Order: sequence, then C-alpha cells, then structure tokens
Amino acid sequence: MEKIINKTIEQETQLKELYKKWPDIKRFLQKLGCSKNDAEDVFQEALVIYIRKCEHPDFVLTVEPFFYVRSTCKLLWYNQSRKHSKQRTYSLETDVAQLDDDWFKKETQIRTIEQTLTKLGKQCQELLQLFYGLRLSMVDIASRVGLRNDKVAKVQKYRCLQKAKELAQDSDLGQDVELELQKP
Amino acid sequence: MNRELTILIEQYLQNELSDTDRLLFEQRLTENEKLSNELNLQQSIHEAAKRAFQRSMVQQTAKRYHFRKNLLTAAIVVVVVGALTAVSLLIRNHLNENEVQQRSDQALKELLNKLDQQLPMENIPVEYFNLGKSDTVVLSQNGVLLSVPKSAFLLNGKAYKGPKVIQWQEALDAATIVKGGLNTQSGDRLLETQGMFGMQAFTPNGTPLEVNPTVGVYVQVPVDELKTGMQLFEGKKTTNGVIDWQNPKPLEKLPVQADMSDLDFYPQGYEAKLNDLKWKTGKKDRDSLYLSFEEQEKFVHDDGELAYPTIPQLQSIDESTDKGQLLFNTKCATCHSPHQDGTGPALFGVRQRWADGGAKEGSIYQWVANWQNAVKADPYAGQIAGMKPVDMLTFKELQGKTAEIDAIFDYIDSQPYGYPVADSVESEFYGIAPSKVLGFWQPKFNNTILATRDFEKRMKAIHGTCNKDVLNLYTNNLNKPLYEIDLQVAEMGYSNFNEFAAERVGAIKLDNAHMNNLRQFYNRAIAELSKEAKKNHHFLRNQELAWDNQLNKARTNETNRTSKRNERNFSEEYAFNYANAAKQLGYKKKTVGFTIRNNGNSQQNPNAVNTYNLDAFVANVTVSRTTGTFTDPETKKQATITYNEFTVSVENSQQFSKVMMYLFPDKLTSFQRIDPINGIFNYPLNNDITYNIAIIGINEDGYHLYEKTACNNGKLGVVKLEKTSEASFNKRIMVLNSSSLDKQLKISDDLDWLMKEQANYKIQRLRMEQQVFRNQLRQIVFPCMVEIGYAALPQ
Repeated sequence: MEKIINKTIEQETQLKELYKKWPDIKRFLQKLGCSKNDAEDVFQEALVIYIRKCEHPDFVLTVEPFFYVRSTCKLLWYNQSRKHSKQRTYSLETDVAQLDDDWFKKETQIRTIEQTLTKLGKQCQELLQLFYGLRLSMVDIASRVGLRNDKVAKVQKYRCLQKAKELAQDSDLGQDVELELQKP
Repeated sequence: MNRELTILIEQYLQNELSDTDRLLFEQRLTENEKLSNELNLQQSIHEAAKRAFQRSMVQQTAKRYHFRKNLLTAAIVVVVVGALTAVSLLIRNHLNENEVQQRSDQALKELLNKLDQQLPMENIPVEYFNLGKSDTVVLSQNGVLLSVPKSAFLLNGKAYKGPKVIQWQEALDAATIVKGGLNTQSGDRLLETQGMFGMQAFTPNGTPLEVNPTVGVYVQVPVDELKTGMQLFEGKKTTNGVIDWQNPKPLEKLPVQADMSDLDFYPQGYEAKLNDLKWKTGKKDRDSLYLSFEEQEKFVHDDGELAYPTIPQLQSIDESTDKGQLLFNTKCATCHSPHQDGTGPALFGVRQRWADGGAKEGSIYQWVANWQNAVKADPYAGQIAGMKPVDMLTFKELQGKTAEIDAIFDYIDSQPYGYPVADSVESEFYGIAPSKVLGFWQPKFNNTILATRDFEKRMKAIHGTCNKDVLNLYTNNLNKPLYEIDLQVAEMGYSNFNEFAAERVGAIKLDNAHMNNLRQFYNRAIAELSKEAKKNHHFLRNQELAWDNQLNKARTNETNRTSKRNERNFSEEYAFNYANAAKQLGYKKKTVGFTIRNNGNSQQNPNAVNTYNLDAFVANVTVSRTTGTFTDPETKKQATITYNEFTVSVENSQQFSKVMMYLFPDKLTSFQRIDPINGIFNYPLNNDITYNIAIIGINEDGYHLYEKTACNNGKLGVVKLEKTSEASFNKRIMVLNSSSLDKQLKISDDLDWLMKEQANYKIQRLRMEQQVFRNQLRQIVFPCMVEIGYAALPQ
C-alpha cells in the first residue's frame, strides 16, 4: 500500500518535471502542424503512455524521458492526423505504430475502454480509479467517495464494474463493425 | 452479462478465492471461451480504470503547471501589496489562533482532568500528546519514541482517523518502578525488566480508542544495554490492583530505510581502496569496474564439470619488451615464483607485505642486492632471513638499482592472480558475484528490506561469507523480518550473524504480487548484467589479441625484410668488392670460365697465400669483414680489400628497451640494421664505402637518436643519444637514407615497425598496470580468494 503511494508520488514528481518542458513540446508539435489545443491533448496522452510504459517491467528507457515523450508525441500526432485524413480520403495506409507493437495495440484497446468509462457516473469513475489506480483499501475509498462504509463501497464497486463491462462490450461491438467496414 | 459471474471473476482477479475454488475456476476457464473473454474484458477494465487515474494525475499536473505559471507572472505585480497584506494577515491569524487556543485549552483541561482518573499505572507521572489526523512521531520525556500511523486506532471496532489524545506513562529505571509500586511478575514467574510503559488513546472528547492490531503503534525504548531475549508483556490489572504481565511477544526494531543511491553494497574496502588509488568517483564507473570482476564467475560447465577460467596469456609480453621479466627470469626464477613457495618464498605483493610487516623503507632493495646487509640494518629483514633454510644469493650488480628491482616486482605483481575456490561441484561460485549485488542495487528495490541501513551492514558481512546462498536468503525473502533471515544464516554456520539477529530488525511490509515482480526483475537483471560483463570482457580480450596479432605480424614481416635485405646487401657488397679487386689487378672485366685451383674454396683462411681464386677470396673477406690481400699467381699483382674497425656503445643503454644501429652506405642500394652484442656495436666498415650512421634507442618515452655522417672507420667510444620527437626522427632518418641508391627496400617499412614496437611498450606498460590494479582489487572483491597463480591450476 505505502509502496503504491510512494510510486505515485514518484510519478507525480516526474510528471511535474516533464510538464516544465511543455513549451518545447508545444513548439515542436506546432511545427508538425498541430493546433495548440490538440497539442496539449497529445502531450498529455504521451505522458500517460510514458508513465504506463515505465510501470512495464520489460521497459528499459534508453533515452532521456523528455526525448521519449517527445517522440511519442510525434508518433501520436502522426497517427491522429493520418486517421483524420483517412476519414476524408479513405486512404488505406496502415497504422504503423499501432500494428507493429503488441503493447501499443493493447494500449489502444485500453484507451478505448478508458473513454467509455467516462460515460459512467462520477462516483463510479472515482471509485474505480481509486481502487484500481491507487489500490486504496475499501475502507479508505468509502470515506473518500462519501459512502457509509467499506461494505457499501464494495457493493457499489461491483455495480460500477458491471456497468462498465456492459458499456465496454457495446462499444467493443461497435468498434468491431467499424474495423470490418474498413478492411476492404 | 451475469452479475454473479462478474463477482466471481473479480474475486479470482483479486486473489480472494480459496485454493480449490481457484483451481475449479481455472478449469472452467480453459474449457469456456466466453468465460475467458469476459475475464479479459474485466482485466482490461481494471487497466482502463488505472489509466483513467493516471490521466487524472497528468491533468492535475497540467493544472498545477498552468497555475504556477500564471502565478509567476502575477507575482511581480503583487510583491508590494503582498508585503503589507502578509503582515495584517499574520496579526489576524495570530488573534484567531489565540482565541481558538484558549477555547480548546479549556476543553483540553477538562478532558485531561477526566483522563487523569483512568491512569493504568498510579503514582507514575503522566504525559499527554495531542495528535492530529496524520502520521506522527513524538518523543517522550525520557526519550521513548512513539510513531503513530494515522490509522493506528479503532473506535468501536472501526478505523478512526480523527485527531486523538495519547496518554503516556513510563517507568524506565528501577527508582521510578519502585516508587510507582510496580511489580514484575508474570503469574508466579519473576521477570527482568528494562522498562514499563502505559499508553492509552482517546478521541478529543474523551472516548477511549483501541489499538488497531493490523497497524499498531511503534514504540522504541532506549536502553543502556541491549539484552537478548527481551519481550513485550501486556499488563493486566488483577482484582487486587496488582499488575500481572501476560502475553509475551518478541520485540522488533524497524529497519532504517534509505534510498538505494545512498547505500553502499560493495565489498568491504572496495571504495576505500579506490579512493586511495584516486580512481574515478562516479558510481557508474565504480559499478562497471565492479561488474568487470564477474569475468571469473562461471566455473562450472553445463555438464557439472568443474572448470577453470581461461588463462589470459598475452603473447606480446616477452622478455624483449619487459625488463622486469627478463631480470626475474635470469636472476630470481630458479628459486622464486610469484605465487608458490619454492626454495624461496612466493614474491607476489612482496613490497606491500614488507611495508605492512613494518620493514624500514627501502630495506627491501637493500635485501635484494645483499640480504646480509639488510639484516644488519632492519630487524624485519632479520625475521625474513629465518623463513627458509637455504640462504638467498646476493646480487651485487643490483646494488642501489631501485628502478630495476621495482621492474622485477612490478612484473611479479602483474602476474595473473587467484581464483575463487569452489568448495564443491554444486556451488558454482564460491563468492558473491557482482551481478548479484548490482542486480538489486537499483531504485526498483527501494522500500524493501534491501534498501535499509541494516541490510547495508549485513551486506558487508555477506561479502565476507563468500557464499551466494546467504545473499539468496535475503533476496528471496523480501517480506520476512530481517532477524529471521539472520537466524537462518547463523544456522548455516556463520555465527557472526547471531549478532545481527540479536538486533531483531523487523520486516518492511510488501505484498506478494510486488515481491514476485521484484524477484523476476532481479533474476532478469542478474542475467543481463552477467551477459554484459561477459560481453565487455570478450571485447577487451579481443582487442588485446588483435593488437598482439598485429604486432606479431609486423615482427614477422620485419624478420623477412631483414633477411632479404641482408642477402641483398651481401651480394651487392660482394660485387662491389669484386669489382674493386679486379680493378686493382688490372682485369678488364670479370673473368668467365677460370680454372679451379687447389684449395679454391678454402673457408679456413682466406688470407693464406695458397688462395688462388679471386671469387673465393672476395667472398671470404666480405663474409668475415676482415682486410685481405690477393695476389694474382700469374701477374703477381696484388689487390687489397680493407675493412676498418668500427666500434661504438651507447651511454645508459639499459634505459632503452631497444637499441640498434642503422648504416646507410653510399655505394649500396640498401641500408643495414645492426644489433648490439652485450651493449656494443662492433661492425667493421668497408674502407671504400662511406656510411651515414644512426644509432636509435626506443623506450616508452619515445625516440632517441645519435647520428654521424660520412664515416668509414673509428672507435667512437660511448655516445649519448638525444631525445627527438617522432616527426623529426622520421625526417632525420629520411635525410640519412637519401644517399642510398635504390629506394626499393624502403626505410619507411622499418620505421613503421619501429613505431609499432614503440607503441607496444606503452601498451604493455598499461596492461601491466591494469593487471596490478585488478590484482589488488580482486582480493577485495572476492575476500575468500586464495593466492594461487594460474599456472598452478589443474588443467
């Protein structure tokens, strides 16, 4: 438990350091034709990917974190702009970054599910995040989210999970169809 | 989308199922694809929730970043206003505080009066600590340390996180205990005590709290003397008011945590030695140096055969390049060897041994030249004289030559040294492999028992055991209390670990999943590190071998060139002499088809009167380089070929690793190289040829040159070589060679070779120093290593 908190603190300090580089990244992305609003989203997405990568036991950082984040930004922005143009021109270029790396492929799936999670209620979202993200105990979660006790929180957690599963499955189906359509 | 199924999967994922249930579930999982899909989905949701949390963290950071940035720009404007408001704010805050203080003081006083009625030990002074909501550490009057985590207490069986008041009593010395009328009995057993304390906790309104058994309060009691086997007893008041001490529990000390980067897990003395040698101080450098000693790790083949490391034999260290080796082999090797006692004692590290033994400075040099004198001057030498029954020889020629004697010792100290003893075939390596240490010495292992000052202390002792199983016990049991592992180690026969166990240092809590992750990471790290070590080792070895091959090739080429040149020089000089003689005899041209006369090919005495054949005569004088006269038997004309004596020697020739003389004759196509015999060049010169002469000395400092032009005789005596740079050396040689007729046998090839030889001295010197350095450290890195030369290993 304490270990996860420590890790979180460590990650937060790292993020703080990296965020100081935001002006550099902004300039970099704008040069690649990214608008300012998109750029910050891309940057944040890259940071999420960075801290998730760092947790991966096989991941070895070969460059400075800043350069890693910057090249991730570039990759993400290329993907995104390609996707947009795909919708317009129906170009069949493959999404390189997503296909040649299993991790990225999985990460994209998780990201889709993460987006569907935003359709959940606020309390549900917070509860799931605290439990799976921060690994807080049910007792702590109950007091944070404002539920009577840990038992109630536990029941609520199952309810949220069930809902999330349904949502994810729905969007999953939708996504499959979309892929089918794109194939030919 | 079955709700029960979701719960079941969740229980499985959170590891809440019993063993049988889990097996059943896993069984179903293999059979039912839908179930496994659902499991995957649920796992993805976990990840997604985690990701959402991480995203919110990033967004928080963003918010804070933008806020601070705005603040920074606003700050400049606000500075002046800020100073004023700050003062008024302070005053207001102060007022508020006072008010609050007064009010709460009142309440507190009432509370304390109430609590004073409930003292667990009467007649003992009481202290109160008013604690807030967070984790707190407080120190009592007598120095007892209390660490109270925020969830340390329960209110009516539920976790209590609010502010609390702690009531504390302590009786740490006999006087207080007696004054308080406390007893030390457990049932009818008498106890020895090192102090008693009473602690109760209350909410601010006086409701008593219980200690949460899963969290607990950490209490550290100072004692004058650490007694083993002390335990914590729980005091129960019996009906007659006497305290009965029950439920003894072993005591535990919290490990002192530290960051991995502040800890030192190197073998004892490693850092000190490197600091002593003023070696690089960066941790990265020192780590990789430490790792490089892994070269010796694998002593067991895959088939279980005990094997020894390949012997690093470098071809180009030979007597011609190393003076120390030459001296050692000619003077010492009959009685001494570097690592083994023979007629004389082993000499490895002998200078250090003498210095450590208290010998007078410099007496070892005296000893080498004449040990009897050394015995008279130094009592330590006297002890040494008694070591062996056979007296050492004296070496008067080394009297006062410390440089030479040092060269011998340097050579000895650079000999490959030591290998770790494998105590049996099973233990592949009797020592702690560097990769095993560096494998856990990483930030990943922060917040484990390994990242503690206590383990740092143990690690030094673990290096001393040279047993990797000891280290494994610690690295494999990250969630056990340290003292339990200490005891296990002590049982293995390392009784010094009993002292560690007596400290009773406890555990750092770690969940199983994390521990398994770390263990996997550790194993991977070890494998990676030893692979890297091997790679680096091979790389260096190959580099050295490549240099050696290059040098050997250059040497072979040089030998070939020399013999070719000698052959050619001889035939040219022969032709020159023949023409010279023929001219003197008045022959128009070389006679073809002459009569072979008696004794025509005489090798015995070319100058004898009975030599009739001009060819043979010229051949003889040219080979022996002596003056000779030939008389034509028919015309009685005489021809004389004159060779002048020419000798020269070099001042301080022993300071050069190589000395040689180059002759550049004006009438022959090629130069000649002459090597000295016993330090003297003795080479009669042809009277009819003029020579440019260069004497060259090379050593690791560079090139030294003596030159003389247009010379064909003389005793030059002792000449002094002048140091020159490589460029001017090359230029000088080219000038001297300029009168040579043919450029076919290029001097530049010879120069290239010389450069190579010169470079080799430096490289060999470096290798030797490196070897000495590593020999010194190897003993520290592997303290159990025995002193034995590679040569003595069974093959």
